[in-house]
Amino acid sequence: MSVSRRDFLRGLIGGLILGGAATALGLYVAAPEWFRRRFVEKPVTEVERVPARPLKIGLQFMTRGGGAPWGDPTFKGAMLAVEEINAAGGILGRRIEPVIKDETSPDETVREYKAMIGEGIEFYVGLISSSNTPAVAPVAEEAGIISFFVDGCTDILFEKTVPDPKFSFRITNIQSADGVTAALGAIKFFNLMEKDKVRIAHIHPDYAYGRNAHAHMQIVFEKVLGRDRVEVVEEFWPGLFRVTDFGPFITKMMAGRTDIVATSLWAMDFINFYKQALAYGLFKVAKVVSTISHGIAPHLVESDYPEGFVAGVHANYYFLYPEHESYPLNKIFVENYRKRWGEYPTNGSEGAYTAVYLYKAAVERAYGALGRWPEADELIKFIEGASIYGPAGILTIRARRPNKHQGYKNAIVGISKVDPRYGFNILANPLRIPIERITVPEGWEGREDPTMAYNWIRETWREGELPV
Amino acid sequence: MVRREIGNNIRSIVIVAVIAGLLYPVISSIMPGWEVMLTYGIILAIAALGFNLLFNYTGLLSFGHAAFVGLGAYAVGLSVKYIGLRILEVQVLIGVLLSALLALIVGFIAVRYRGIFFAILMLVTAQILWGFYVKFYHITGGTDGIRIPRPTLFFIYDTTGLGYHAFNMVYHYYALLWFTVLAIIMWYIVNSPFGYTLRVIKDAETRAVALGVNVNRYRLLALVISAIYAGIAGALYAPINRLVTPDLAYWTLSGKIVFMSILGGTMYFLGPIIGALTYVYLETIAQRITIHWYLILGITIIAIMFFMPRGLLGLTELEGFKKMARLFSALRLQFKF
Amino acid sequence: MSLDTLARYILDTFFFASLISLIVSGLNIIYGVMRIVNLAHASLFTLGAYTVAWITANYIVKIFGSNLILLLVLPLTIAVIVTVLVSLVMVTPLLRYSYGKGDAFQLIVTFALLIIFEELFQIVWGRMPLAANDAFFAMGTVNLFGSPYPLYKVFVIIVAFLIILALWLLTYRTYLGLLLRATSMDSEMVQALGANVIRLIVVAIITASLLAGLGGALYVPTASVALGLSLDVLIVAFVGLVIGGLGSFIGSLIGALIVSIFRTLSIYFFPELELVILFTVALIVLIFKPEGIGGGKGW
Repeated sequence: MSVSRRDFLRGLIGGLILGGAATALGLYVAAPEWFRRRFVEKPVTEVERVPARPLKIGLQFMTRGGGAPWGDPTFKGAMLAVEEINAAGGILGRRIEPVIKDETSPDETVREYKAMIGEGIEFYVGLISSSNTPAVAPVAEEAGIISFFVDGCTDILFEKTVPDPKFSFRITNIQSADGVTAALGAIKFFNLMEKDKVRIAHIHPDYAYGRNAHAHMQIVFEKVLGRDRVEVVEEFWPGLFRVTDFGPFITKMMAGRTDIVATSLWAMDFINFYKQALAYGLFKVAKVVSTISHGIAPHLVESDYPEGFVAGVHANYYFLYPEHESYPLNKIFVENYRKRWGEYPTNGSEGAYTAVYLYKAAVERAYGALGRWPEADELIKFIEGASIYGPAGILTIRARRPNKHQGYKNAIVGISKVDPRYGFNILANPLRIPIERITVPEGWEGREDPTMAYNWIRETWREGELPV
Repeated sequence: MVRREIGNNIRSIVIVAVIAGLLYPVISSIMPGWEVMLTYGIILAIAALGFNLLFNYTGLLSFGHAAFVGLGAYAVGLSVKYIGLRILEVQVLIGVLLSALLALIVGFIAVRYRGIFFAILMLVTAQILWGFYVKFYHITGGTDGIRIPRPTLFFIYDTTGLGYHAFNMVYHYYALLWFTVLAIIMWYIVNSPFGYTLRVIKDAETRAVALGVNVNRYRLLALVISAIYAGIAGALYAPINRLVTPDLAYWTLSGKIVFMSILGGTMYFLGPIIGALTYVYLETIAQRITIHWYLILGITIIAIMFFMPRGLLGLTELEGFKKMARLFSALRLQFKF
Repeated sequence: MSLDTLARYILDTFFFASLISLIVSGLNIIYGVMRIVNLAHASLFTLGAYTVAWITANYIVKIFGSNLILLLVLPLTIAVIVTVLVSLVMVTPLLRYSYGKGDAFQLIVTFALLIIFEELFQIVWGRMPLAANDAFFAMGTVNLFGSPYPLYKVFVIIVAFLIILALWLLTYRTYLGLLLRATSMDSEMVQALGANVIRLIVVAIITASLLAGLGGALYVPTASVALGLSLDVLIVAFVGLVIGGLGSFIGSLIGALIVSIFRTLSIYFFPELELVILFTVALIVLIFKPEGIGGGKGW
């Protein structure tokens, strides 16, 4: 093949022209606001106080596969809030229009999140996995989309990944509180202070959440009970939703004469684990302290689950508490949720529900102050430091570091008990722990590794003493 | 057999690159959000080009090219995490070296086998690496992966301050540059004596042996080059994705690379490129139409395999297309453009 | 290690091996006759599991209560029938037309089929995991040197053993088996001698589907079934297939057993590295004996 000089020159000139055109067009994209105002939207003559178009909200939860028992109720909570708000006329008259995507592995979740941005969402409520929030948050910050992460509450997110967030917020209690609460529950309910030696087997899912739960349970046991009274028999790290046959793990736990099984397995993993442990007779010799056993849709913790174990709800919310008689907000939420979906809400449902209302409240307050619909960056200061009464009680969004933009509410843990009124195993004897006792306070400065809460506990708690 | 093949020349590569460059601003203004797929597409096209060097020209089916993609991506991830390196060209180089090394080690054994055994060997290699990424939580972050900060391009251009859309665009043209250069190099490789030797090995191995060709050495070299392409693709994939996870070494990605190539048409030089670009959009469109988009994807794959075994570019060999092409060239002669 | 722990480990290993061998032998039958590694095979396992979970929870328990015999036999039979029927409609034609079309073609088509199955499961059974542990608990436990062990797992081991035995009798003691074995060695010759190879292929696929469906049906009472199970099962089965050897009947059993042994060992010694160890074993086998431990001898 030979190329004549004329062909070559023609190609070169053509290439240059095309390249120039590409660059010019590219520049339009680099300044999309200007571009859009110039070419797509009509020149703004009159300031539109509230946009007429519907308000698009991105919803993204794990609603398929092993995470579904957790993600599905969370999605239902968000949808309930959206439907309620729409029935009452929307936010400042704007109807909410959900754009629904799936939460899967971090890689795909980010891609779907980007696709949502393309579809024009104005705010976002989503995510339950701790692998996904650190993946999505940087994108949210860049794209400037107000994003409420319902869960995926790893400490790393606002300590390391985005230490100074603008657009990302998180509703569910910080993750370190989860392990700490469960461990404190175990010490109180099992009277561990009176035991000479506690033999613990850990089994956690092998990712950020499992590692975090393990670290914080362990530091609390070591700090409160004293290091020499705590003996770790085994540590297992099954991959999240990858192991279905826990037989060999259970066998090894029993061989090691475990007293306490400390676990943060969740959703399908937890159900498989406890069913098999039942058959192997593990629960005849060992008690379980779980950070999260009662966090799935309540009816899925069936009545065969043993009584008297430490029942965790991710240190957040169980539908029976705050008691319905004394706190009608919760009663109404539970009744509406049950009417809509035919089951009881989870802490995820509550978080997603509250997140949508938090956005509504912030927009309305911003409207009161500005006289028009707020831009995303104007809205931030109406969310920072705000408190809102949700079904679980008061939720406060922190405005300062560390863990800026993290939501805090009082933690709760209880004892598993079969309740004939419901026909499944419920969380009874709630132990409420003021959140400020168990988490790193505003303004505290210290090492982040593995988490600030971890180091705060190690440095400030007094050995051999219960903080609550 | 010499077969005239559409687009088997450098000009076509340049045309594809220019179109990919022009389309980006067009798509991003008409359908915002869809332009990122173009970047993913050209990056995956690099990996698919590498795959096709093995598949079409050497006759080896690798069902584990994700091993090299993953290695390239983790080269970026780990070098950021542990030595704070953010100069992308250096990171790509590390990825290239690691991929080539892995290809040499695996290839030393693997090139002795063909067909399903070679495919499985590559697959198993990828799965072992995947297992390492997943299980060595304290080094690789397990399934949480490693987050990638904005890279420095061309040793001096720090992209940290750019906005979301601006970075995406800059990076698109950056990746496009890589793509163009690599595609042209690949064209020279497959049209060189080396490339022709590979074809002889594929079509008539015994004859090649009789001619005194060291078949396994040629295969090994092809594997190394192929791995380098996949490694570069992995390294380029990391910054646009902002995250490196074990998914990038998982066998589903290997499957995707195979599928892209077949979709475009493995017998054509441009096939993997067209296939990759089509695939990313096919996936996105299917995702938006229905939540059951995998169903559409699966049926499409089967339909293509049975009814369009030569892939999209195979359509160019239909009579109708040929007529159109003749008409076009007649017009071109007439009006001299 | 105490006696009861050891016994549990051994039984757990055999339990896992039983399930894997059911899948791997199915994969091998198909490979033997058609030279196709059917990636969609694991979907039939999942189909069996879904069917049992769904039927047990929604019908069997409601209609018949917890009658142990019915709990064991009825869902299992229905699941196997469903699996074979679905396989006849969806898998058989595709495999037949993929016959002889090259590795890449077959791998891609069967992988696409796996994807389609996964999505159909979601449409039919929804996104939530399904579980039906009634049979598992109804069987109770057996006393194993002083500590309990679920009897159901022993039951699975026995059933799988009987099925494998029947399969062995079929392949080595019947005329049909003779044809199957001959086809796996030289299908052209078998055809030349006047046997209907297409019919043999259909028989092979049905047998393999039956085994996979049965495996899933036996498995689900011990755990639960969710989307994505096919992929997980496929990968483990695949390792078993590679270790045992493609197309080898004995190899299926060897492969399944080795996979299970290494799995148990790695959980005991290096729980972190279970998958890495499994794949490394496969790699070593491939390097030193690419035809697999039991391979290279046909059936």
